Amino acid sequence: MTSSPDELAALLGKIAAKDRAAFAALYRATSAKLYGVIARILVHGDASEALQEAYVKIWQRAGDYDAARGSPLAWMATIARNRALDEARKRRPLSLEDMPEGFEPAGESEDPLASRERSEAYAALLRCLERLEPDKRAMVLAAYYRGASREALAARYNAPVGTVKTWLRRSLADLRDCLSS
Amino acid sequence: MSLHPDDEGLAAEYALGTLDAEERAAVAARRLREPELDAAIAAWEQRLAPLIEAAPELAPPPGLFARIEARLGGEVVELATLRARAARWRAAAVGAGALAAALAFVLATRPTPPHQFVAVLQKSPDAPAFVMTVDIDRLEFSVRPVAAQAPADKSYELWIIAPNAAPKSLGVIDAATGERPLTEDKGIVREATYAVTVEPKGGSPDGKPSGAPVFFGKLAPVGR
Repeated sequence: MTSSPDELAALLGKIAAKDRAAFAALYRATSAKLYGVIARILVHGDASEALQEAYVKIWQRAGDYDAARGSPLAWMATIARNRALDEARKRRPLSLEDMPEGFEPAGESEDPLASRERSEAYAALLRCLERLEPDKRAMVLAAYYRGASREALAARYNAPVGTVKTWLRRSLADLRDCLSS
Repeated sequence: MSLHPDDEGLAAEYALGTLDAEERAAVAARRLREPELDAAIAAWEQRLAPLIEAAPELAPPPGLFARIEARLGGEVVELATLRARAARWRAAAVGAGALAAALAFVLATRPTPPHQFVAVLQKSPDAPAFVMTVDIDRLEFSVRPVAAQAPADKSYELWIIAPNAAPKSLGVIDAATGERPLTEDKGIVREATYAVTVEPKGGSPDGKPSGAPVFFGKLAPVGR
């Protein structure tokens, strides 16, 4: 289910004033997206717990949403991702192979560049991702979509953890420079 | 970019999600005190956020929303949020005045070590509000009314409800009280539900809440 950013922003405004009906509408409009994000990082039971916590946080913080800092969905998804990542890091480290099923990071099996509908920001980010070496791009995407830790990436790419850290930071710096150029 | 290159990398990796548990917790704590680091993280979150567009949707298990709603009990705000809001409230219009002043006072006069919680206990904007602070390390709490006037012959009373236990009184809330000790252990203080009820003047006569709470909620941890 999708709603326009304006509609979602209006709902967040009402939620900031503790409007429960608006909160229910927001949940209907966004929970599949947020659960999609979380469930690729955490296994089943943990994912539904993290989703609950994410929405409680959204309820509490709706008044802090600032349209200048991105779309409502991006703001909510960031809350959900951070919640899922905190939880994932507390658990036994997962290898990429152990991670929840159902999604291969774009760039491995899917071609993120083939996506039909995309915002300008997404298109710009993809152009910059495309400039990274394939392995480095796959690492960034596995981290973002699957919550892969440095350790998991090190095991997958058969490289020391320190090297993975260096690769990640360099790749991210390259991305930033590309995006600002 | 005035941020140290290591911190810029740390902010980037925090947003990407590749830090380990310890590093994540350390960065989460630092961003509360370091606006530059916080801004760098926000910038990275924003750079990467378009990737969300490509994440496929997945229907959550049914019945989850009811469980979320049950957890909304009251307004318990994390300290980080509170700081930002206090600034806004200071500038905000009538009605919020007393609350903002109290928060500004709480935030300005107390250092905020990691085990310090500050919560606004309020169900809705027009309901009575209380500011509660809890220091988990010292096992002390304070609570005072803000924009909450008990009817002449009544008192507000604060209760702690440990998981699977009966409510236990933490005393009557009045403007004059300072720090009070908590006798529960730290785990319970952290996990418990807190409730405020309206009681006969001086507090519940039989040690049990006499009616439904005007507020209930849980502590939200700072920084995680």
